[in-house]
This record gives sequence, structure tokens and C-alpha cells, in this order.
Amino acid sequence: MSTVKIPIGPQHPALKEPINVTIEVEGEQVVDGKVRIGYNHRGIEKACELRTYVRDIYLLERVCGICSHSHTTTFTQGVEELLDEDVPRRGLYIRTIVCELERLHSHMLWFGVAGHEIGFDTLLHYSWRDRELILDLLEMISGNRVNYAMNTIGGVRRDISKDMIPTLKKGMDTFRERCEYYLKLCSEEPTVLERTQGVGVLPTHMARKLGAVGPTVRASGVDMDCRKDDPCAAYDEVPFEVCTWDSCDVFARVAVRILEMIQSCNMIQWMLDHLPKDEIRLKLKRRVPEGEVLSRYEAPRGELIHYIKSNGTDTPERVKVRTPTLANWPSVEYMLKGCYIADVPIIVASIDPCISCTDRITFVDVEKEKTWMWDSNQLRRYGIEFYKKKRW
Amino acid sequence: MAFDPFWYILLYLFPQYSSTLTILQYIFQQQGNVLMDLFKIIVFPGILFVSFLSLFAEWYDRKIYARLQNRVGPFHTGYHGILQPLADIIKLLAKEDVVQSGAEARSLAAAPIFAMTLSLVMLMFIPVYRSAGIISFEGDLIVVLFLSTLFALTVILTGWFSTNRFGEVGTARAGMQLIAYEIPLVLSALTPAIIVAYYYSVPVQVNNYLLTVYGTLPLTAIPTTLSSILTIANITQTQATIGIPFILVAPISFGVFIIALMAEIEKVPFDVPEAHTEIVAGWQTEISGKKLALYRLSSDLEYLWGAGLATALFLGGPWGPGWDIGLSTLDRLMGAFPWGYVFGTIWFLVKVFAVIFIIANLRTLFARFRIDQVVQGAWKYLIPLAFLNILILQTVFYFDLFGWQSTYYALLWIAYMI
Amino acid sequence: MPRPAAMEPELLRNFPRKPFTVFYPFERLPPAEGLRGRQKLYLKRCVGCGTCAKDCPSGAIEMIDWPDEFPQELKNKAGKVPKVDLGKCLFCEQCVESCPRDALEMTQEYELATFDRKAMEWIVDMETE
Repeated sequence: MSTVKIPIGPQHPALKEPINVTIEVEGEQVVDGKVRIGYNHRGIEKACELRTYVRDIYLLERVCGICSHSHTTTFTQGVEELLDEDVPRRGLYIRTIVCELERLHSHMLWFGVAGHEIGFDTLLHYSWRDRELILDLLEMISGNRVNYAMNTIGGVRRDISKDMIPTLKKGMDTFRERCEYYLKLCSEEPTVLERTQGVGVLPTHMARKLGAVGPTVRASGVDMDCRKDDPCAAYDEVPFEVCTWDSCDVFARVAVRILEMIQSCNMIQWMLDHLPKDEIRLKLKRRVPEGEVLSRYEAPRGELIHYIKSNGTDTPERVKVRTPTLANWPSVEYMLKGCYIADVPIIVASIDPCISCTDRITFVDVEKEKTWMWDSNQLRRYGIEFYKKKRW
Repeated sequence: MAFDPFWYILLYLFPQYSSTLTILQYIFQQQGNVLMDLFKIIVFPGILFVSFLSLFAEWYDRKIYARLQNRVGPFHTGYHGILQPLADIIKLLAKEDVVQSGAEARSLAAAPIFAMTLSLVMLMFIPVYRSAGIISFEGDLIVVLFLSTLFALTVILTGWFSTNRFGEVGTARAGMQLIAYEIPLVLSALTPAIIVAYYYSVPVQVNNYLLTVYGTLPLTAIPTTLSSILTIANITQTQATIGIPFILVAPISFGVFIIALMAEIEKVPFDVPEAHTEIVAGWQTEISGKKLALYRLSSDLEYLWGAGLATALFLGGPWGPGWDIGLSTLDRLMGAFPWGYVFGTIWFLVKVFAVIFIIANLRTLFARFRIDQVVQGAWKYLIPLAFLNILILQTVFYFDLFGWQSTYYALLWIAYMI
Repeated sequence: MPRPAAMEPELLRNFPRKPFTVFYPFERLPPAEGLRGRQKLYLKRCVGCGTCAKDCPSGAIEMIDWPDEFPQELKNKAGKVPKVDLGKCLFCEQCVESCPRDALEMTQEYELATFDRKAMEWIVDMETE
């Protein structure tokens, strides 16, 4: 039987952001899948080189709306390392609390979106209703529901006052109950089990080989978590466990994320009990001495890497961002082989794609063995010609 | 005087025009009540009534769906959003109709009209105010189920005519699903017919006049032929006569019927042909504007048809206390107002909305199945269940378990006394 | 262990409850205390140094000459006030942090959408404190 190529294209109701997944289909079975990225490229790395370090924090915050605090945490950690200064403990604790709150809100958002992809809109509405609780807590702490701008070079900008703490703790209790309910529900509801078990299997050795990160690789049984392997901020003091699951399919990823949410609730409560009474920020100088630093952090989606090279002025020379979603795309291509069309959205969604984070492109021509970069006009012309020839 | 209830309603409402109405009635009588039938087909319970009722049923379904999810549902159009489905249809009618260059434009335009017609005709068989619908003849149960198969054909053809990859995938899925679920639908719809067959084949003289006192249907002989058993009117009437709605006798069949119905009208968990997160809109991808409006309306009408058929077959249709007031021969001779029809409509509506509540609840409860799971579900689970119920019933009837005879002897005696 | 209709008790429990929806334009939830809304300028404290304009990440603040509508007796030595382009503003509070005299403050006004692009360029709300 001949194959049909179906573009789950840049515009599709299954995707929240533009990306092209072209699947070759025989009847209802997918034979092969190819992922093309690059629709969301904004030139952020170049823009970072034109701005000072302080303004770069706000720029990098807007790489992604859901994991914004992760980007600023990684960046400010890196710059603080270059300046060779120690941030006061209270600042680190507050930074970690906001990091864990962001993990909660990101995983809950993913849970709702996954429910929507399998057609379970009820789960979408219920989980996003519970997510409103976290967003209200974040608004109370930082002044905004997304893009919280809490980090600055040298610590955090706002403090958690004494009267916020009881509200936060009560919120964590409620949220933990809801997470336990969702875990119970997902292991019992037969339609969810039918759609997620056995779907999108990524065996452990392939996960390691393809370089998957985050909950995707923890769902394949690999114990890999930046917070334990390379602790930053306050993670070396906070007790928690790395959650893994053994069945390597979409259900495992759901379970890993819900377990991580429960862990985060516990962590936040521990940190609120043990907040040190200290300063929250240090006033650091603006000019950063020469050097280069690689800073890592476990964003909700996986390991986030920032490479910063400084040259003694107050603007960085090069900032490179390697987001976890970029590392997970080869796993998606592997998982798409042999599944059904109906499984494609949930497989793509199971790595928690943050496509805004993904796009950093360089052109590599394998035959001629050279690499080059294009500016936006050349890119635009190339795109117009590509679509005219309809080369899927 | 014709024993037609609508003249009575009009005479009751407008007593000052009684002379004009009497003359008109005489004229219409000469015409053989054609205009009265036309009224029944177009206004009540024909096209207008049923269309507005289906829009109201869609509003009700959306509100239940939303409330079960702790949301509000339609709210701002009309009182609590009751005009929202109508607003949707009107908006779609006003939109531009975009057709692909490769699609067959005329066939694509004919398909929604075909679907609308089918839905409206299917709805005319449903008993709304009395135990027979507007169209009622012997053997109409099979005709109604056949028309729903034709509706499935329309769905398949629409996806095929729009030469879109998503449309082809949606068509293939729709074809598999709708054809696979026809079988449990027909089997579970036949179970009430089997109960009727048993009821009338018992070797006891059933008093004929018990049946014709509520002279609402053309039942003149004991139904013993196969076609007279497969008549919706007889099934509804029998439930009234026995006094037991068939859902109590054959609950498994009711469950199978509801599930197969949800698959036929493509509601979650069976909305895989129009799964919008997977294949945009499946067979509906390329239709827009007026065609989409007609499709939405015909899909709402089919929803109402399914719920109406479920109440007629399993819950007794318009049967309820007071559905026969003013309808006996004596009352008609005396010219009393046929309140029975009003009560019958009310009971019908109550039962239909109960069925829609169940379906909306099931819609909220489940995720969407994959197409192979859908087909597996039909063949592995539903068809055996439908057969199981028929087997149980046949066994009970054949061996007279549970004293079926004595139960309805008792009921007959009670009814006779009352 | 698959249990059919596992979500049914939750659904039926939520059915009679008041919906979670807030009918936004007709009723509003109270914003949190530290919500970052529009800026407010304390004219008495501003010295016109321009640090806020230098530090703004999106370049939304521009120093303009003392406008005639403001009271002339409060005019500072430099003769300039900051003007915020709310279309470019990120509401990040960096200007509040950078000001050496604490002359700027974020209010809780967040309903700032307009149809008119010119109306976005507002001179910061002034306060003669």
C-alpha cells in the first residue's frame, strides 16, 4: 500500500505553537515521522549580545511563558558565578520556592493539555481550575501571574513576608490533595489507560542514546535529575526524591509529572518552614570580568543549559541557550514510528514541547561540509521559495 | 365532526371565532384533512417544533456538560444563553462558503441537504404527543434504523468529496465506526419488539377493548405478524398497556442502545471521526458556511432523534399519568378538550431530557477512544451484550420464569378494575 | 485497576456547586497587593537623572522636558520628567528599583487596554507628594 504524507502542520488544533510534524501514513498506522522546527525563531541569542546583563534577564524571561523563571535562574546563576559572589541564603531559598511553584504550574498546564489531546476536556477544565490556585499564589509573591521577574543578579527582588506563609502552606495542602486525586484517577479511568498505556514507548537504552532529558527520560527508568546531580540554589539542602517510572510510555510520563508535583508541594512546605532570616540580595557591580560559564538547571521540561561568555564590559559577548525541548525532539521522531495517527498528538505532547524554547538554528550542509548563518531577509526569501516548490 | 384534536385546541383558544373555525373545518374535511396534516408536518410536531426543540436540546446538553465541569456554559445570548445554538446556526449561515478547487462542488453541496432531509424525516416517526408519530405504519422501526444508516452514508460521502487528506482519514474512520455500531443499535432496538411479541403471543385472551379505549392508534387486531411487532407505535402502546416501561425489563439493552447511539451521533468517547486535535475536523474539515450550518442542525436533529427513539422504545414515549384524559370515544363525542395530548407531550419532553442528561453525563466522563479500540469495543463487547439480553429474554419467556404470566395477569386485573 | 466511570463522583459533586468562572467585565476579582500595574511618579522626589530610562529593558521610558500642565514650582534642576510608553512597558519594575530617590511606584491598575495607539504614550501619573 502506498503511503500518504499528512502534515500536522504549522497550523493545527493539536499544537499550541507552530511546528511541523510530517507523518507518513499507511491507512491508520504511521510509518515514519519527521519533525521540522524553526517557525518560532526570534533571534533572542543575538539580541542578548546587544543589551546589558540586567536587561538580558528580562529578555531571557520571555523566551518561554511557562518556564520563564527557569531561564532567569540559570542566567543569573551563571553571571553570579562569573562575578564569583555568593548570594545570601534567603535569596536562594526564595528563588527555589518560586522555581518549584513554577514547576507546579507548568506540570498542571501540561496535564490539562494532555487531557485535551486525548479528548478528555473535563480533565482540562478541572486541572486548569486547580492551576489557578498556583497562579494566585505566584501573583501574591511576585506581582504577576507569568513572567514573574523575581530574579536579579545577586538575589531576588521581592521578599516573602510572614503573612504570606500561611496562605502558601494552605495552598500547598489543597494542591497536594488534588494531585493525589489526579494520580488515582489516571490509574483507574479506563479510557485514559487505553489511550496512554503502551503508546509512545521509548525504551531505556534508546532514551539514553537519543539524549532525552527531563520527565521524558525519567519515565524510561533513568535516574537523571539536575537538581540532584548538580545542585544549585537551595537544592543541596532541601530533601526530595527523584521520581522515575518503569513503563517507558506516555502513562509513565503522566505519572512522573504528577509525582514530581507532589514532591514539589512537600519541598515548598519544607522550605517555608526553614526560611533563613537573611538578606535577599546583594548589590553587585555591573561590569563582569572576562570568563565563560556553563550553568545548568532542571527546568520543568528537563535540563536547561545556558552558556555565557563575558568580555569585561557590561554586555555579554555570547549567550547560548540549550533548552530541554530541543534535546527531546529526536526521541519524538523515534516514538512516532509504528503508532496510530490518533496517537501522534499525545506523543508529541508527552515530551511537553515548549516550541518557543526550541528554535535556535544554524545551517549545516553535510555534503559541502560548511556551516553558515543567515539574516532575516535571506531566511524569508528561502522560506517563500520553499513553500512555492511545495517540498514537504 | 372530525376527531382531530387541533380543532379542539383552536376552538378552545379562540371561542369568539367558533363559527369561522367550524366553516374552515368543514372545508378542510372535504379536502380530507390534508391541510391539517400539513400543519402537523410543518408546525407541530413537525419541522418547526422539532428544530427548535433540537436547538433547545443542544443548549441543555451544553449547559449540563459545562456544569459538570464546574463552568458556566452559554450565558450571554438570551436568558442564560438559551439562544446560543440558534445564534451559532445563524452566524454560520452568514459566513462565506469556501470550496477547494479539487473538490466536487455540487456533490459536496448536495450532501448536507440530504442529511437535513433524512434527519427531519427520521424525526417524524417519533411519537411526541400520542403513541404514534406523524408517520406511522407497520414495520416502521426497521425503516427508521435504515434511514440512520443512510445518514452514515452521507457522512462518508462528504469526507470523500472534499479531497483533503484529513477528510479522507476522517471518512475512513467514520465509515468503520458507523457501520460497526449499526449492529448493536439494531439489535438493542429490536429487544422491545421481542417483548411485544411475547406479550401478544401468550395463549390468554387479551381483552381487545382495553387497547382501543384510548383510541389513539390504528390498532385494530392483536399484533401477531412480524411487521406489526416492529412498529414504534405498538411498542409504545404496549408499554402503556402493560404499565411497565421496557427499561425495567431489558436494562442491558437500554445501555447498549445508548452507547451505540453515542457512536452513531459521534459524541465523545466516540467522536474519533471528527477528533479535532488529531485530524482538524475529519470529514467536516472542508465544509464551511451554509453547509456547516445545515450539518450542525442535522446533527442536533439526529441527537434528538436518538433520544426520542430511546424514550419511545424503552421508556414508554408520551405515556404517563394523564396522557389519556379527554381522548376516549365518549369524551370526543362530547367535544372535550384533549388534555391528554398536552400531558403526553409533557411526559415525552421530560423523558427525552432525562435521556439527554444521561448522554451528556457520559460525554463528560470519558476520553476519546482510538479507532481500533472503538471497533474492538463494538465487536468484542457490545454485540455480545446485545445478544445476551435477547437470550435472557427469550429464556425467560420460553420457560415462563419469574411468573411473567401471573405478573401481568395481576396488572391486567388492576387496570380493569380502575 | 480500571474502574469504569472513575470520574463520576467528582462530576456529580461539582454539579450543584457555583461555577468557578468569574464573569470578568461584570465582576472582578481583587488583585493581589503587589500586583505590578501602571507606574506612579512622585513629582517632589524626581530629580530628572534619567537612570530609569537607561535601565528600562525595553526602552519604554523617555525623558521629556517639564510639561506645562505640571505645577511649575516643583520643577527640578534638570527640568525633565520620565514619560512611559505603556505599549512597550514590560511592567518589570526595574525603573522603580533603579530610581535613586524612590520617586516611582507601581500601582495596581492593570486595565490599560485602549483602541488608540497615541493614548498608550502616557506621561506617568503624577502625584504632588
